[in-house]
Amino acid sequence: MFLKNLLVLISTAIAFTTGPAAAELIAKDGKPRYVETHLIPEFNSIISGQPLHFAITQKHTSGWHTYWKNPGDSGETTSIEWTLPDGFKAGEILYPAPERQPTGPLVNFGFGHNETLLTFIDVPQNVRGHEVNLTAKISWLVCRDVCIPEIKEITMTLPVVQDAAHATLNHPEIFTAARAAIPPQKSWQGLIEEKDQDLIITFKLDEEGQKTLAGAKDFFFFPEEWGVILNAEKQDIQIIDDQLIIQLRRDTRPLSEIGTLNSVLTYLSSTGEKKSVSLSISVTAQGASPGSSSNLKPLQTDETSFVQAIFLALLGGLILNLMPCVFPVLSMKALSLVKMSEKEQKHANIHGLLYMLGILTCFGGIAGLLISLKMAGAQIGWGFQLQNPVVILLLAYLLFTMGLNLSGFFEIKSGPLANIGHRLASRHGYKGTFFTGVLATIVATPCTAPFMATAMGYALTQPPYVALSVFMALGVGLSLPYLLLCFIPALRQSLPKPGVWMETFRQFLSFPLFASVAWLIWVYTQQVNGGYGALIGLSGLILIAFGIWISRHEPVNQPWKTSIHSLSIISILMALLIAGLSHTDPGKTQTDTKTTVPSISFSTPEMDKLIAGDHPIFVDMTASWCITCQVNERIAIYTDSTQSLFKEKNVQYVVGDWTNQNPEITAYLNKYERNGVPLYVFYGARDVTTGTRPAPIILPQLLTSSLIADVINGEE
Amino acid sequence: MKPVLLFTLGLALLPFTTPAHAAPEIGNPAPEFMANDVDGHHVMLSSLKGKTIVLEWSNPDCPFVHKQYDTGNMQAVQKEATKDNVIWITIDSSAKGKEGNYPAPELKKIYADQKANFSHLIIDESGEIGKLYAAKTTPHMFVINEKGVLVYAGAIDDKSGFEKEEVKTAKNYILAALNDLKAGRPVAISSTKPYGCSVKY
Repeated sequence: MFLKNLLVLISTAIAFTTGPAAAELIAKDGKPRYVETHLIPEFNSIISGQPLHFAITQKHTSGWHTYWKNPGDSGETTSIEWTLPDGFKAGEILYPAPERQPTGPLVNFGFGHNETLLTFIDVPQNVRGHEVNLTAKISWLVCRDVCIPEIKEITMTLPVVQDAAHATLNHPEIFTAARAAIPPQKSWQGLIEEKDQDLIITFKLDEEGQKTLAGAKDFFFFPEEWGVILNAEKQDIQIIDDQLIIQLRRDTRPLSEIGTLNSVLTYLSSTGEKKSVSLSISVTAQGASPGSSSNLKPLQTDETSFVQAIFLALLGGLILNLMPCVFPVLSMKALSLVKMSEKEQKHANIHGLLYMLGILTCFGGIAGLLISLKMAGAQIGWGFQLQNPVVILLLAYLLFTMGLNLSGFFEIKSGPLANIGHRLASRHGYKGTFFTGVLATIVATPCTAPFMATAMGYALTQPPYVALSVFMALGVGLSLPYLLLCFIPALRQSLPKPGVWMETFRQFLSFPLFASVAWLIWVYTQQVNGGYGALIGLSGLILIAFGIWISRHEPVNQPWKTSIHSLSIISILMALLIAGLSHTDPGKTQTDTKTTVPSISFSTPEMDKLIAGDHPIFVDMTASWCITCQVNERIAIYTDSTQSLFKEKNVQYVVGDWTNQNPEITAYLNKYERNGVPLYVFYGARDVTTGTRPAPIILPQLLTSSLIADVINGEE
Repeated sequence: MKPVLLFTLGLALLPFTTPAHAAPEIGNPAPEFMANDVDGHHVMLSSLKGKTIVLEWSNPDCPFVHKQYDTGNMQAVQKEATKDNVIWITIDSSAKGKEGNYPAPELKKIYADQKANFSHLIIDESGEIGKLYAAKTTPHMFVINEKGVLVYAGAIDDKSGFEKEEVKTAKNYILAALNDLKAGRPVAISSTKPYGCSVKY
């Protein structure tokens, strides 16, 4: 059985010519084979100093095929091994345009319809002797559902002549047809770019190129290099204005291994003829100068991008002003303007600018840190600050202290909070205003992550200057309301007149802050180990409150004054110590048991396995500190309708918990150009007829049950 | 807020695509699989962590596989590897009714007659494992290190022809990769073009 195919494995035929004029080369063995191959010299003689071309004709048995230069997923290209006299040199094989040959989930590139290959040998000047013996061993693999290697050895003796006038052409029609079938080389300038899992090649068409491809359709791109693209995957090829845009699914071989990517593009011309062109793209040259794309319009998908992300960031920044963590700060700043008189316009302007400067400085700092950490290779994303329980608890302390201050529990005499609610009478307090901006940014961060993931995600996958611009736009958005109030007196006029209400309002504003504290403490309890998170966090808050309270009751006389003072400092230090000692529990994750469909914990191998399977997959990337995620889970995912739909459609529910750092999740988010949670991705079930999955769908960051249902039922 | 929502929605629904059979990448964890071998032993990749693993895609009727087995080359490489406690798993992903598909006892006998030295022989008629690894040819080889990370994928050697004498002069990529691992070096040649017959899915 094992030897079943051995009989046909190697069937070597020795063929020879009966004379120089013989064009028909007879195989000596006469054994049946699947490809009838002949080697035909263009002239019946060797011409000194002139290369001699050969046609390798192939007659395929119906259903069997041979292979192109790049055979695709399997197979082996046809090769020719010459035995030549000294001074002769074998040339390469030139192939006509290949065909796509699907076999199961694989796709090969080759020939099945009697295609003719061309090759040549270089002939030296002044060939000695009257005759020359040439031997060529041609080997090819021929496959249908099984593969058979075939070899044919051909020897020919050709007379030597000194010029072409003494040589006669051999079957010129074969050569004319074979040359016409070789794809003509075009010099269109190409640009290659890797994007996610795609390889995008853009050619700028010259006038001739535009004419050639006018009205063309049914494109297919054949790379001569292996491992560059997934051969069986869909290709998106289109012409937009003067650009030929080829979007391919990327395989894993690094492009750096390839200097020039030669390729053949086949298409149906406007007149319905099968045509092809040969195209070359320099890969390495582009790696060296990424800026060389300036002469080409970026692709549509790229335009998502800069302007939109800036716009989104600006809007996001504006919205941040309404967040419970920021609103009180902004309100108190605004109230201080109420009391300002017309004359102080100049000061107001300066305050407005300083506030913005404070915000931008702080955003710049965080962005810079994040970008440099990313560049150093750390697998982190926006919101990374919140993955650290120390930061969470310190933020809770900060917001709690601010809340106590607003509620009237104590007054702060200096620092960033000092001039909240106070009159901006003079240029005193400039420093304070700057730091209020810094403070606004710090307290805004917990609210930034969930709402700004799209813009942030885009930003962090871009070059640093783009990333910084996006962060700056966010900062400008955050500072804009206050800046406008400062600069436009008419706006200030529209604010309510000062009065007793201001104190009441100020006290009221402490409640959004306390609410933020409650949330932060909850996040903290999710992050630290043991069941003591809430106890520790709340004790910290009590120590802070106690420290502040006792310092307000300083006795006038020593030694009481010093000891009370120390007690205040000690209790605050203890609170800080508690925060500093917090550490994450890697096992403590946000696994929700409320779901009726069991959730699968995210990991890259698990994901690979699920994707290789047939069932639909719903990926939920979440974190405890992400409010949007919690809301979505409550109102859209853990609902009866969604859960029963999951069950009915056999949806694999995968949950990635990013509450603490997880490089695999960060990598997954990056794949979808995100740097934060939530991220919801739906992979449709494998199509039984085609054996492929539809493209994954990214769901919006704010979900509803019906939206999930639409996506799962394929009605999005 | 509304325009922002619409906008986010628009952005989010931009088409993103993932290839259905993306090949596992070198340096990433090798995809997990479970199967019974022809002797009925349960083979689970993750339970083999701590050992170096070689996966060999095979089809006893493929001429390229013959080239390796008839010359005794594949058996020699298997012996060399398993001697160093490498787990060698030979997988036949030919679908039912396709070339190279045999019932377990027959397939077992074919390889026994060839004196193969693998640790496990798995029949993967559904092609599941093959597709998981994007195995394209027979032979198509994969090496997984002790940490379960894929460190080599590609051809058995650098001579892609089908003349048997070639194996004598060919550079065997599997032996090279295993030597690198043994010496604690990163695998120098980690990815090559697999050659041979197509896997008969």
